[in-house]
Amino acid sequence: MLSVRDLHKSFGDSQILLLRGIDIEIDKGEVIAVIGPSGSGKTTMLRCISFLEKADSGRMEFRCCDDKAKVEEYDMHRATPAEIRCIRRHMGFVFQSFNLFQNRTALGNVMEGLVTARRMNKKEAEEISRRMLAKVGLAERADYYPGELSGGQQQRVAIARALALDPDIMLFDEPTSALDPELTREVLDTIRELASEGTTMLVVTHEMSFAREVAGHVIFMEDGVIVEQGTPEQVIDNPTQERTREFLRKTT
Amino acid sequence: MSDRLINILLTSFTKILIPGIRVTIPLTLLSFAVSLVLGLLLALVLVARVPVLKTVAFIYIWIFRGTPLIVQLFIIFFGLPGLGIMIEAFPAAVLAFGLNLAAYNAEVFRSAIDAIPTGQMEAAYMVGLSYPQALVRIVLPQAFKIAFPSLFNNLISLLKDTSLASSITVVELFTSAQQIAARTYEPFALYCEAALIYLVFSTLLTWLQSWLEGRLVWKSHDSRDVTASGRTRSMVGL
Repeated sequence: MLSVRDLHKSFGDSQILLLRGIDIEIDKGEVIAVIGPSGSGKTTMLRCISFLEKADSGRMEFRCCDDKAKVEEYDMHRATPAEIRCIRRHMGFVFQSFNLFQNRTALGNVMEGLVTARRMNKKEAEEISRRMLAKVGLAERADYYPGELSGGQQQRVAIARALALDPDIMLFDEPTSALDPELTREVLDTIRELASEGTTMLVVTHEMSFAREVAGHVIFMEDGVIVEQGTPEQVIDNPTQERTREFLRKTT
Repeated sequence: MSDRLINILLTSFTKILIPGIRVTIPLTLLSFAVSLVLGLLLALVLVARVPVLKTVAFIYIWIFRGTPLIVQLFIIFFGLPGLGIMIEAFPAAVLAFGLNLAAYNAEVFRSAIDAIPTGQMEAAYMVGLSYPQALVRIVLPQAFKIAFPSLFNNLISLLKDTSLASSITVVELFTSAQQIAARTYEPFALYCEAALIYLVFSTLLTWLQSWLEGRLVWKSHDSRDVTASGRTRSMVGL
């Protein structure tokens, strides 16, 4: 459904290479977990895929559901604003730091994309938004502002906000890194539920047990390259690469 | 205090207050409106890094912040007629104060917009908003809340600076005080009286500020008792 070929990204004008040729392929309904040490380029990769950062080079194939026959290919460096808008229409992005709109209630956050970007009428948008908030267990928090919600609740609102736009793929950028263990659980439970419903997801995470349990495919990244990938059993339980073993030793 | 002085103070009070209400306050509000609109435009040009216009905005702010207000006032009222542009005293004052304060307000708006985390913009993009939509619906409302106290600060400054308009023949609060002082030879008492009236005006503005600030909070509840988690204070993110 989405594939990325030969993604390169360097930092500014300098020669610091953040991504050195990343290939990723995600099928519909698949959950891929990306693990790796800080600074390995996991987040940068996700931000390049969502065009929040401009890749130096790379090609993306993205099959959007409304036109199943057509597979579009995009140049990740030269994508036009119109192409980027089109791609993002089919992507949901969940940030490490939630990034809820501070001047909107939980409901307002979820509705914003539907009403402003999709031009849906308010009543319909509210109905969808309330359903999405209920789905993440926050129906009764609809009228709360982000500042009045716990971190876990904020992140679940952020997930609802992305889901409301009915994306083909959800991108999660370390969704629980800003949360304490208790709140981490409620967010992971929500993501787990999405996985069980067959949502296509690319999840950058530090939660090994979560990756093992939910992901069908695990990618281990270091220094801007994919060092090892495969099923969770292969990568997490029986890694073949020394670097993967060393990383897992430190984290578990 | 002699009866004569008390009498002067009492009879002059309304003679100073009325031009204050009729001239000083409209002058302040109109100039401030000009400075808000122009200041916001300048800030947007700076924030969006519009080529050419950005340089124009930079030069504008550099000049209007770098030269004395009274000099700007004199250039507009006494100088421009030399170039064939005649402006009446009151509009000239509105123009001078508005243009001058726009430079300051531009910086207030710009820094407030810069203070909004980039994540807000990114999140807006990811739900499909365009740059103008994200700016108008998400960033500017939050930036305005940050800018508000500084803007009000500038408004109070402006209220007092409008007394400079007396130097270009605008008959406002201070001009009236000057005229009565010249006639009665009681400058100390009359200028103190003028000061008192300015003080009353700015006190009213200060009250208005705290009342408005109290309403500029994004909260669904009287926060203290009820918060998201039912505790007295919410946990993360506040």
